[in-house]
Amino acid sequence: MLITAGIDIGSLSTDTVIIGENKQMLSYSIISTGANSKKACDASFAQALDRAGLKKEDIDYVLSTGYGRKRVEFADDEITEITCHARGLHFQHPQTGRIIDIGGQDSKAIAINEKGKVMNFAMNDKCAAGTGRFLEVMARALEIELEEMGALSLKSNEAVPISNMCTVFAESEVISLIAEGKQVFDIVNGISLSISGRVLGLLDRVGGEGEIAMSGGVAKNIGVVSAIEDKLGVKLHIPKEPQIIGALGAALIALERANP
Amino acid sequence: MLKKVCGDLVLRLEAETKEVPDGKKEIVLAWAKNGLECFKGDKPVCWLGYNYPVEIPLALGYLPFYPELAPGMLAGFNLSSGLVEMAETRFFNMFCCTFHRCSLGAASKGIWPKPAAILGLSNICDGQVKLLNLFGDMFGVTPLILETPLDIGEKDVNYLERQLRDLIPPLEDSSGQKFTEEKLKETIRISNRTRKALLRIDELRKHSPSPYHGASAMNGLYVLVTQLWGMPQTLDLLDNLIREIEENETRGISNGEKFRLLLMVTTPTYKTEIYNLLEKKMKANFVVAELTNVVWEEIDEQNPFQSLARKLISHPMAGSMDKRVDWALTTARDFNVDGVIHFSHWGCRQTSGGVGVLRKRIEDAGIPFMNLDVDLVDPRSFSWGQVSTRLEGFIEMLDQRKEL
Amino acid sequence: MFEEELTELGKVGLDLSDCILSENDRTIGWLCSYVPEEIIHASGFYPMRIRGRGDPIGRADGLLHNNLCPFVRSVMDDAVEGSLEYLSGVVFANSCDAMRRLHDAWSVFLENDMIYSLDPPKGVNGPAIAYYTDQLRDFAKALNRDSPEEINNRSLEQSIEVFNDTRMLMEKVAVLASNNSLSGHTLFNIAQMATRCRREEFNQRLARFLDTYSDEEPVKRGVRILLAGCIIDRPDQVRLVEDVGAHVVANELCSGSRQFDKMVRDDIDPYEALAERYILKAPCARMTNLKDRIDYLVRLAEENNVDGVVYYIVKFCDHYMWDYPNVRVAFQEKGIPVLDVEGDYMKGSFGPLQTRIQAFVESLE
Repeated sequence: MLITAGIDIGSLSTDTVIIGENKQMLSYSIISTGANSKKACDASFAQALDRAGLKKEDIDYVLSTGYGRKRVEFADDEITEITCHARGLHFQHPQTGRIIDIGGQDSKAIAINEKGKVMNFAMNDKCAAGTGRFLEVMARALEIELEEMGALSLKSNEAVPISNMCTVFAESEVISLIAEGKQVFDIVNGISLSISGRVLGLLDRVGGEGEIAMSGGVAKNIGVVSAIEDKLGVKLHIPKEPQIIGALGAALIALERANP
Repeated sequence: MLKKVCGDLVLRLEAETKEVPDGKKEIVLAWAKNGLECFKGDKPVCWLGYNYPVEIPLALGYLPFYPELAPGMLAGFNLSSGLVEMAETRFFNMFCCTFHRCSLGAASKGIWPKPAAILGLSNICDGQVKLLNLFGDMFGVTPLILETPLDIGEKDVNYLERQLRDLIPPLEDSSGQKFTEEKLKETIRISNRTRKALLRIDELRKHSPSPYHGASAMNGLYVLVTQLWGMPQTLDLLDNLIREIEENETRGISNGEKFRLLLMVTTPTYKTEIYNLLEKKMKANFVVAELTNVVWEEIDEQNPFQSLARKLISHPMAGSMDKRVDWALTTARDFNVDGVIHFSHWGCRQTSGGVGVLRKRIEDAGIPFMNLDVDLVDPRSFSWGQVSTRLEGFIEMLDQRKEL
Repeated sequence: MFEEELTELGKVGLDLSDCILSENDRTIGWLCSYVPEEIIHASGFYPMRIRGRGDPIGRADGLLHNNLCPFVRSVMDDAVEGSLEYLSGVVFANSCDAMRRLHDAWSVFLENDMIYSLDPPKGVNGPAIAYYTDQLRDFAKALNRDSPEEINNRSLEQSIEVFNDTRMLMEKVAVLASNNSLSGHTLFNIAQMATRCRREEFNQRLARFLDTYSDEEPVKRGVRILLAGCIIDRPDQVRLVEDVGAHVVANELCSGSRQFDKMVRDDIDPYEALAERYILKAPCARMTNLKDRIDYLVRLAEENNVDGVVYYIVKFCDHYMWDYPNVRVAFQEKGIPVLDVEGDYMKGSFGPLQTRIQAFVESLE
């Protein structure tokens, strides 16, 4: 049986997905990238192999993606996460027509066709605003855990709007708001609105039609997801493990390459 | 420091091109030689804003120097960042165009050759006029700014023509040379022949596969058109290039072109990897570039000021977005491109401000469009990870769209 | 619209509530003070200056670019959201790169039945004035196709009279401010409201106000400040400057006093007279000749006997930013201290600036 692997080396997490010939998931692993992406990549791959009960030689094709994709020595080729997220989400949820992905340092909107091919995409400009980095910085300023943000946001009835576009200035603004006595959950709600506004701008640009799915770590932040759903007036499809979508897409494309 | 850069380049490139003739190296050599001449001091130097009709100062014996564009060259030698920083200490903050900031830094350090005249345009960008005004102050030279109308109607051309004629007396004063119709005709003839040569290169680039690409080719042509226009040696350089290109075509030299791209604005000289990534790895070639494409009619020797006025207003950036959009759509079709990539220079309001319009009109015409925000002068702001992902993603997308 | 501003003016005895333009009036919006309001007025439409709401930018970033003048983006945002739909038409001007692109983006993304565009020269000389004169004639012709009334020399001369009246009246209001009889933010408020009212009625109200106004509550003497700079559209922001112990005795703001500089001549062809006045009036930083502008600024400061200058720059405004070092040197040579502050046109943007302005004002006391 043909077996392929996709490895997504992101700025926050490094994920591996191993699939079989019939596109069945054999195993996956998610580990924190940390400071050394090479170590993370080896560790993630090893963990996924272990969980599948396989050895390196059993893998017929390895495709790498993510910002660290060029540094995977054992990969057969590399491809951008744009193409991989498209393929991964389309596989999981074939009705997907548009994709929102908010990653650690990049956010993107992708329009795909019925085969999961990328028709158009838009990414954030140089700024970190609208990415996972933005949330990290804000969480620190508010002295809360990143994982708490989603739930906190839902407690709010009235968002405190954040007017600043720039992450650095937004951070100062948030600190001032705390000093003014604004509630943390209202501020977090404002942050969710900010980030969702950015991302919706990208979605606007990208066109396309059909259901909207979301991938990337921030898809686990229910505050941001609700903010986006509210603005769009539709429910987003969120995969159970949004972080591994890139690696899954890579594994699927690897399968096509190994079995043309 | 520019003097040293030019001096070193001349020594090195003269030797190299003697051994192995190389059209692109010869362009940089010509630029460096002109630079050195500017420092010699025996001919008056004219500082020109981008897109200025250089035929006129050339006819009056000036050597042309482009203070806005020289920073782009320095960036290619990694000498720009320090100068940009210098300008920041003079108040100009990080939101300003780095071509201008770097130029200001260089001028304050005495790096540019001294100007006898300063010429600019009101309607390429706001920054140009402001920068030249500051230079005027610094060097005690009154800048002569042409009011460039937005439109190209008869009244507009007449207004501009009149201003071009009015330039002659002050330019004569600063150069010490008398203007003659014959001298202008001469520079115009060279300009027209150069234009024909450039048209020939673009004709060749329409072929599939396109026979002209690579970092040095693209950057070389850009330097030639924007900074060496109208000079006699430029004609020879272009003729050499044409010969090289035709030879390569005959020998079937190609990179296996799969995708054809249209370049808007220009690429950063300090990051030649962009071409390795696009051309070598992804087989995507820039087959035509906005700033090296002929958009004006031949200049009429008998009516030079009028035609020069028209040439000036025809530039896609000199006016409303209609001009740029029309240029992009027509050219994309003529060159049979698969996609358009626009490089927005940080701080360049008039190009980046038009991106929304470009995107809509170009995508509505069914042509994929991508904008990249970069800094064309300061490598410190450049994030290769971000840029390479977007470039690769774009070509991957072109590939997937082609399957349809 | 403008309730806050109307209320503030009511407090000093100037009631403009029944002459302020509303969505029911036939208005043509304009954005740049180089556009002759008189031509619009003669056409039977009411000229109305457009301001942005100053809320965080939404869609405009995608239609323009986030690295562009926030005033322009704010206006684009409002237009795209539909809050400028009440305007019958808009006159754009090639004031600067950002305004150039605003026109381009508007033409592509919005309805544009009645969109006009002017290209005011940046140089001051005979040919430039002649060139602009031609443009103004063409503008009137274009307007005449859709206008309720006919623009001809006669109607234009009448409109010019009305707007010259405003200039004379505003000169008197400026004197009040300079004499400490009126606060700077009230002067600014009146200047703004002029461009949002039916002009003949505004003139009447203002004339009556000038006749009857006496500073029963004399303005507290504060440090005398000239407020120069980029576009400000909220009197409460000018007030923030005065709250820290300053009296903004004069302003160079495009959306304030500079709009009323210089009369239009009545002894030559009205289009020529308009072109001349609009090009020769107190210069915006967009004009090429920096020396003229510096001379004007210094004169304004000296005539009003100011203690210091606050120079306000809107983010991404290349014109005001690039001029600043030379402007500052010129003031310093005259012994006039200058403070530069940067804002982003948004509603809350003056809050963070107050501390710096206060420190500056205290240093001048």
